[in-house]
Amino acid sequence: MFLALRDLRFAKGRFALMGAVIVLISLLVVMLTGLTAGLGRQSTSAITSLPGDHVAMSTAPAGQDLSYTSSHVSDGALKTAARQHGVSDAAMLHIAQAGVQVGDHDVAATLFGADPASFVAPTGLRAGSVVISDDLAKDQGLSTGDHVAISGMKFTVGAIRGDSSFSHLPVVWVPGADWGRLAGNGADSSVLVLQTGSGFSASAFDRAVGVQSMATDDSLSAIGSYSAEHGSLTMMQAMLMGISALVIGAFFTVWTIGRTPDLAVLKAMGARTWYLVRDALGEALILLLAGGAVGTALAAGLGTLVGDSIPFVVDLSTTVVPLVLLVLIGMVGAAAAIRRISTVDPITALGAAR
Amino acid sequence: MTAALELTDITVTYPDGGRRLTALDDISLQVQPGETVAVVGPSGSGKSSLLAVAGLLLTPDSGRIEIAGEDVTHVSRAAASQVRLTRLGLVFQQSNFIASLTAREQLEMVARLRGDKGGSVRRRADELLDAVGLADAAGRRPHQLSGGQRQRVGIARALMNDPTLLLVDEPTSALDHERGQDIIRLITRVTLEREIGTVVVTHDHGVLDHVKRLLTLEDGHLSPAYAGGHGG
Repeated sequence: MFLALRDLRFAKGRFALMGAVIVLISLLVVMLTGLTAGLGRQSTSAITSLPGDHVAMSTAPAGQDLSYTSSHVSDGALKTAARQHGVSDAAMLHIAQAGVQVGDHDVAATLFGADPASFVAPTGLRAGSVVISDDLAKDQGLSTGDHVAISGMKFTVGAIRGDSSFSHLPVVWVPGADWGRLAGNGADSSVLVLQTGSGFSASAFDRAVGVQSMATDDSLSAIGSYSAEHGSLTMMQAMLMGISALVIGAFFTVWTIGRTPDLAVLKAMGARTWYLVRDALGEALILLLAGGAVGTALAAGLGTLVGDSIPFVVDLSTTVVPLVLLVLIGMVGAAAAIRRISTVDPITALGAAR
Repeated sequence: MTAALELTDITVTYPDGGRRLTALDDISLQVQPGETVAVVGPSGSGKSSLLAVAGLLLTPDSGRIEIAGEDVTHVSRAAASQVRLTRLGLVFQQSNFIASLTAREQLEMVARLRGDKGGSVRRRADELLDAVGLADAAGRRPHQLSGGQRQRVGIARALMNDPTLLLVDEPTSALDHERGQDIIRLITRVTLEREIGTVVVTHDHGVLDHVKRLLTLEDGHLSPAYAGGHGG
């Protein structure tokens, strides 16, 4: 990269401009990735932290997608499910949205109802008590032993457990025995949570129980808020990646055309096309890595700052992974532009032909 | 003695509208080590084609090219690059330099293309700059050099790979008479000292007192003009 390094230094202004564009694009991409992960976690963390590995829902009516909030599973189905081959444990999980009265005001929450004896129930769940998420406890200043009311029924906070939310609302675990009185108006839904071992066959299970089962991670798309957000945010990221490839490609096209005379002279002196291509790719890689690293660092810094007020995740998968992707896609754009080095004819280095 | 360059019955034609234009019409030329041959002719006489053929940048319609006794008429593009890299020195018209490189780096670049680097490359670059009288200008970029200095850097660069054959394209076109004379003197001197065969292509008759062998190229025909002078 003898030439690349010197060209970078010599044409500082042009490369700085291009570098700034890459900084901004990577800033946007990493911010979006952190936000996507943060919002996703807000929608799904209660489900991904369930102790089961499979979830079963009632079959969706024709033309509709599976959904946590429209699934209804009977007690009979639970009993059948528990007897199926490969199922080591099965539990009913009720889901509803409700206002939780804390002091004199209501807080929107997702209620998860489960039999305290079942494996899905968090430790600390007893009759007459609820288990709430860290976030809810922190936001409302609640601690173990405090009282809350749901639909006029009083509960004691029995435990505060983990970062757990569903569909952007903090989760409040309620004992199953009280569920009928809390959400008996039909606005609730229910799913089966399964612990499976070897020999479990989803299709055999579905036929026997009359439900539709899937791995817990695959069930996230059945959370309405998650699938909608995730789709649009991912599309925006993909578009930004595409834009960066095009911008890099355009820059290196113009740059390569501008240095055609240099390339002709180098080729006339005996430079192989591959040597020149390698040099130019090195130049693009330096530019992408430097700009991308600065943008990613800025985004991670900003994300950490706003992490308390906005759902934002800063970890390897939201910083290094998008950076690597951006660099790879940028290199594709650069490579497409740099290809034209091979078409430069060294004869143009001679006087009369120019 | 093996000729540095031997062209035999070279013909080059270009498409021109519906017919073909003959740039070089069955020409032959032999250049011995230590010999400077000047080829003079008006523009469009085929000078550039001659240089391009000898530099393996253009494949002739017919004829044979030998460099240092080796037939290189039909070598592949990659092999032609290799020949240029190891055996040929090209001095381009005016300032065909890379703007971002200093004079020394222009020379180092040649070695880099072969994969050579380090202190010995740097030393050789400095020696050559010294040999063309530019020891002080090693750190300057092309735009900080005068036309004459640029031409000297170009000559030093062409010598970097210790070539068998030096091909020089219009070395005086951007210079006044006196500087042009200096450059031609420098070329004939290094040609003798380093036993290189040199072909200088020019339309400038005024600077040719220093060249023993002068050929004229007109309408694709090469013919001896005069032999004499007092230089190399």
